[in-house]
Amino acid sequence: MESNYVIEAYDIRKKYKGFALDIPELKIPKGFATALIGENGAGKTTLLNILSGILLQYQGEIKYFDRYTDRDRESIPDVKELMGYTASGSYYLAQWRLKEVEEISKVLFSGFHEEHFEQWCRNLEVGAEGWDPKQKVGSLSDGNRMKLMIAGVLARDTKLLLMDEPASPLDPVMRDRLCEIIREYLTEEEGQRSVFFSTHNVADMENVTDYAIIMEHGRIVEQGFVEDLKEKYVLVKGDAADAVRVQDKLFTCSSGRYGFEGVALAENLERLAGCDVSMERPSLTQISVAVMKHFSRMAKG
Amino acid sequence: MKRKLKCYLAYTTLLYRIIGVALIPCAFWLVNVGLLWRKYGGILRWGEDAAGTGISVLCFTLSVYVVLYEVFTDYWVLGGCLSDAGKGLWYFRTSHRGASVMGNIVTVDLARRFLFCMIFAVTIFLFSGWKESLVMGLAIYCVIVGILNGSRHFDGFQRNMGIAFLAQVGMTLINVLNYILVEIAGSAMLACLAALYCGIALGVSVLTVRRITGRIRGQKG
Amino acid sequence: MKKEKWNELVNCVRLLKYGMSAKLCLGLMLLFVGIGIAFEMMIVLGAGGRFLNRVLDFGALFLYSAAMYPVQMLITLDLSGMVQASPYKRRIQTSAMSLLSLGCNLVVLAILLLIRFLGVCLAPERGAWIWSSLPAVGIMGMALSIMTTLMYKFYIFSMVVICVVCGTLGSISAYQGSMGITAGIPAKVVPFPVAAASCIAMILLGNAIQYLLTRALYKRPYSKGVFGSAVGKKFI
Repeated sequence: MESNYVIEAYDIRKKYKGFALDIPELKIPKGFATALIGENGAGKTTLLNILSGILLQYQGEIKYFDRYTDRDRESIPDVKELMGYTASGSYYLAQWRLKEVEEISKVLFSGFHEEHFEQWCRNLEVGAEGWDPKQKVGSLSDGNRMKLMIAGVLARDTKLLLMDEPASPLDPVMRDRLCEIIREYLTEEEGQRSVFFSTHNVADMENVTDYAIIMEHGRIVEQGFVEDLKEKYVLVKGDAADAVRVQDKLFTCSSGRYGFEGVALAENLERLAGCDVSMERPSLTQISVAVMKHFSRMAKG
Repeated sequence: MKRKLKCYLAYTTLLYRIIGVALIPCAFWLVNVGLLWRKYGGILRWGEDAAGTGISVLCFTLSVYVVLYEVFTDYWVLGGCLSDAGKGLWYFRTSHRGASVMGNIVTVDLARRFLFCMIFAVTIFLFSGWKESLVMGLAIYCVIVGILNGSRHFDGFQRNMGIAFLAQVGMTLINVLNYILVEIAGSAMLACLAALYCGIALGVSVLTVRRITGRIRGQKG
Repeated sequence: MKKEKWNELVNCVRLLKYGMSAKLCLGLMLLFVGIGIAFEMMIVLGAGGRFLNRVLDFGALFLYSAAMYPVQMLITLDLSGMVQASPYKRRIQTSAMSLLSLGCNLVVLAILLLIRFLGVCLAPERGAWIWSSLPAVGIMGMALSIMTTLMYKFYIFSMVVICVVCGTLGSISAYQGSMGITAGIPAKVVPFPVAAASCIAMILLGNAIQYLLTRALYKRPYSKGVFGSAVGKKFI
């Protein structure tokens, strides 16, 4: 599948003590929901902070909406107006009330609509009353605070949502709702909007993910449209007796008393000829875990 | 004592201990010693500030800057710990030893501040022969700890700075009050002031430790 | 385009009330202004007594500190992720901060010069003493403007500098028999207009340096120490 890109980034590098983000090329397709998957400490939040303009000390170039560079992002208001960003922490001041969040958002973003914001707060049931203008942000639970952030970005005229772990603090029902919201957001403008979110809760976000980028130790180790990835990898299952024989032929393998299960690259299937195994289409979760495990093992040597 | 020290060392960063506990107080003390040496020409050569004749401007000013420094740097260690938004203390609640550990940290912190105030007071005494130096040392300690009990309620760097500046005013007023009392009542007032400040110092120290440990135990205060 | 930039600056000022503990900061600011004016009046009118009569710049220190508060209220806004992800991030950290600082410093300077001029008129025999410290007061204002910029990006370094510089200068002042800071800086007796002009020039220079520093340090993240100790957390 070929498409345009909403963000193109080249040679992104950022070093911390004991960690280095090194991404030679990153292209986020336009009109799709892209999931950034990785272990804890993989660099997801760092990458999102770089793309959203929170973190400014890095090397590399970024292009937004096929037009703007990262320098334009800082000097031209249009870029940040078109991007909606939700963070996993340090987003609001605890003292702010919902009404003040609305007022501040109105000042900060010219495409912000108060009536939509209040409507979204009611829909998402932010706080006990849904919309209580006097409620302090500090008194909201983590989940309600995330809902408030989501309401804030959805109440704006944006073309791109950058979301850092949006599903993490949400309950299962709300996660399902979030997937619906992302779907509606994407379909509303017929391919002109995009969503880029990080998650390590792949199972819950799988049904909304079109494109996946898997990170490990600050590098992108796999990426592609989910359908393509499901063609690229195969889930292999077999008896426990055969586990030792096929183990080295699989990308990753986990075995128990009654059988083994592993992920293999489809191009390596002929290596399994003669083995009594069954093959299935893997889920994105299984692919992600297999890829992350494989590259973790490689990193450990 | 060893255990208290261990808790304090585990809580504070090496950078704070180097800069906040060692470097700046040493630098400050050296500047004081240098200036006092220049003014009085050496130690134990008690000049115009001999006992009962008054408090020198130099000692006044030095005390004010000690207070500024102590309140200012407290933000680094325990800033905002008593504020409503400060949830960092909650971590200590997860252990039954949490309150005790925090109490040890605060106790050593207070002991460190007391030591600094006393070194300052002794330095003044050696140079100016000024018996009020003990009163001044205790007064500085009382002002510092009293202010900290209030400043730790406020999170936010700019509020801490504001309170540090106001603390200077407080110290100035205390110094003026001490001076006036000594001028009126003579040397006999020194013993009363020393006893008073001693009592206040003990009281605020106990109060400081109890408030923080009480906050960990879930008591408001 | 210019109108847009002006609107953005106006919006930054409108955002001040949402800064961290804005009411408390406003209260502290007004308190500092009151204390500063009281000190200045007391000293220039010769009502400070044996010790305070020798304090030339305590009042100015409080007034300049008051001028720092609106700037700090603005910066606390920028510590939130929502504001950092908005188009206002750069504006708040650079031109809005510098212009607000300049405005506040000029207001404070006007109060200061007025009081000193009043002192000179009421007690001409003390005139030279009253205005001779103005250039040094200007240097203090300049230093405070620069420190305000550096504080949020280099917290520990700024804290060390403030403590060491204030302590050393204050001690030198005290050694010379005066309480304050700027008596440690040698002062020449110059005519009042020259003293006032040099004070104003120092303030303007300080703000210019401040603006350049904000542009240069824009990409640097905020210092972690600014967020306080581990046990006090205010961002969520």
